[in-house]
Formats: sequence, structure tokens, C-alpha cells
Amino acid sequence: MHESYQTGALTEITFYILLSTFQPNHGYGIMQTIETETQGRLVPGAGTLYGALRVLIKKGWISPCGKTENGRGQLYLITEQGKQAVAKETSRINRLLQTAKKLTAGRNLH
Amino acid sequence: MINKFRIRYLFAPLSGREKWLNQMAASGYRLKGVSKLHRYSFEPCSPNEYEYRVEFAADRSADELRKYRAFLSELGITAYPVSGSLGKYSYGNIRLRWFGGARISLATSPGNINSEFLILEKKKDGKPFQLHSDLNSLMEYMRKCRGACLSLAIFFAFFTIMNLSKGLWTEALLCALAFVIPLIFTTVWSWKIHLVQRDHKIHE
Repeated sequence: MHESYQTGALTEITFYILLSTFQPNHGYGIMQTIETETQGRLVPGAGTLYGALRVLIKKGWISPCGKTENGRGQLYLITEQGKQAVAKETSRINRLLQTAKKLTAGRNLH
Repeated sequence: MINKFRIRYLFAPLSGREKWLNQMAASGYRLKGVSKLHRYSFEPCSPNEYEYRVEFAADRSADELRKYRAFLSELGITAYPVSGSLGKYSYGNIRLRWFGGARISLATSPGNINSEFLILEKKKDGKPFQLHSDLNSLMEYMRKCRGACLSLAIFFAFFTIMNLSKGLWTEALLCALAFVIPLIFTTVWSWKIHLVQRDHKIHE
């Protein structure tokens, strides 16, 4: 399961997969997007990525949408339900950021 | 092309086999195939051109295994299925597999019998070659490995008791020995799971 039961927060990998599928994307493309956007901090393992994609398809948050040009790779696209999950998660992260800013305002963090 | 028989990795199927394959790659040999009788064929390549991981895959159905291998291929990873048994002599080749999550499945041949492990090969590109990069995925995988060891231990515990009740002392002793090995592995996996859980209490 890739959601925290306590907070409803998505794991980082799940969130990035959803963000990477706003346009049709394949497994390798998703991996590349995550790596590029996190500047190499996050490199999803093959087993992790496969498991996460499978769960997201089962939940109806992404769906397969055809094959790559060479016909070998599966393309994935985010669904309406997936977009709602992204909106909810973005709002949660924003609230978290605002809370962090409020509580650390004027304090030295370094 | 060189061939090597390695039956010993029936008893160290993951880390032992992985270490050996990476040593072969470091000395300039790339895997080309594995037979059901554990004959590994290698062809020369540049030293350290490839790297290997070995994954437990007996929990996957035949269809799921096929899809997973296709997915790995998209990522530039070649998967070689390896058997957990030696021909028809089997220790660890369980037909009734309950460790694949919530479902219980019956292994079939052709399909997922003789494909209990996957050797994964990737060309070295300077990036880490890891299979499970987040906690959920890693824990799920480790629990499956522990479940497989535990199922073996339960299987042999049952036969030990059966033989004892019939007064077959030699058979009971053999089954008891076969029970102890997977029990040790079950304990090792439990310890590894505990360590991962402890280390991930704060960070994801």
C-alpha cells in the first residue's frame, strides 16, 4: 500500500508517478522524470516502480493508454481520480509548508 | 563462451548467487543463460560492464511474471529465470504458495515452476541498480521472502511430527534437519525486517 494510514499522505514515489503521467508516459520515462525532477535524489527501483504502477492501476488513479512507438513499452495516463489525489496531496504539502514557515519564522534553521 | 555448474546456490539463492555473478562480471564475463540443471553460460565482455541482482519471484503468478519481465525489459534490464530446484529433485520448490500477498496460488509448469528466482542484468551506467527503493516495497518483498522460508519450515515440521508419530526415527531426523535450515533463514529475514523498520522510523 502506498498511502499512509494515519495521514493519508502519498509516498514520494507515488506522488511523482502521478505527476509524471499527466501526459502519456512509459515505465522508463517515468523513472527518468523522477530522477531528473529530484536531481538524482530519488531513483526508483524497478520492483518498486512496477509495484507502485500496479497498485495505482488497481486503484484507478492511472490507466494504460496504448503502447510506445516501438510497440514494446506500455504507456500510462493519469485518470480523473488520480488528478483528485494529486490536488489533495498538493494541498496537504502546501499546508505543511505554511505550518513550517509559521512555526520557524524568525528562527535560525542553520 | 564458458559454462559453469553451480548447484551450491540452491542454498544461497539470493546474495550468494548475486555476489558470484558480480564477481564474474568484474572479471569480464557476462551471463548468457541458465539451464534447469544450473549450468550457467557466460560470454566475454569488458570487466565490470554489467551488474547483477537476484530477486525472489516465486510469489508471482505465471502471467504476472511475464508482465514483470516485459516491464524490466523496458527499463533495459534482462531477466533470466532460475529454478529453485535441481531437475525433479526439489527442496524449496513448493507448489502451494501462500506467501504471494493475500492470495494462495498453486504453481504450475510451464509458468512459474522453475522460475522461482530472477537473475537481473543491467549494463552499468553509474546509477544505483536497486530493485526496491522505498520502504513499502522493500518490506513487502522481505516479508514474501520470509513467508517462503516459513512455509518450508512448517512443511518439514509437519513431516517431522508425522514420522515421529509413526516411529520412523531416521526419516524424522532428516525432516528435522530440513526444518532447521529454513527456520534459520526465517529468523534472519525477521531480523532484517526489524532493522529496516527501525531505520525507517523517521525517514521514508
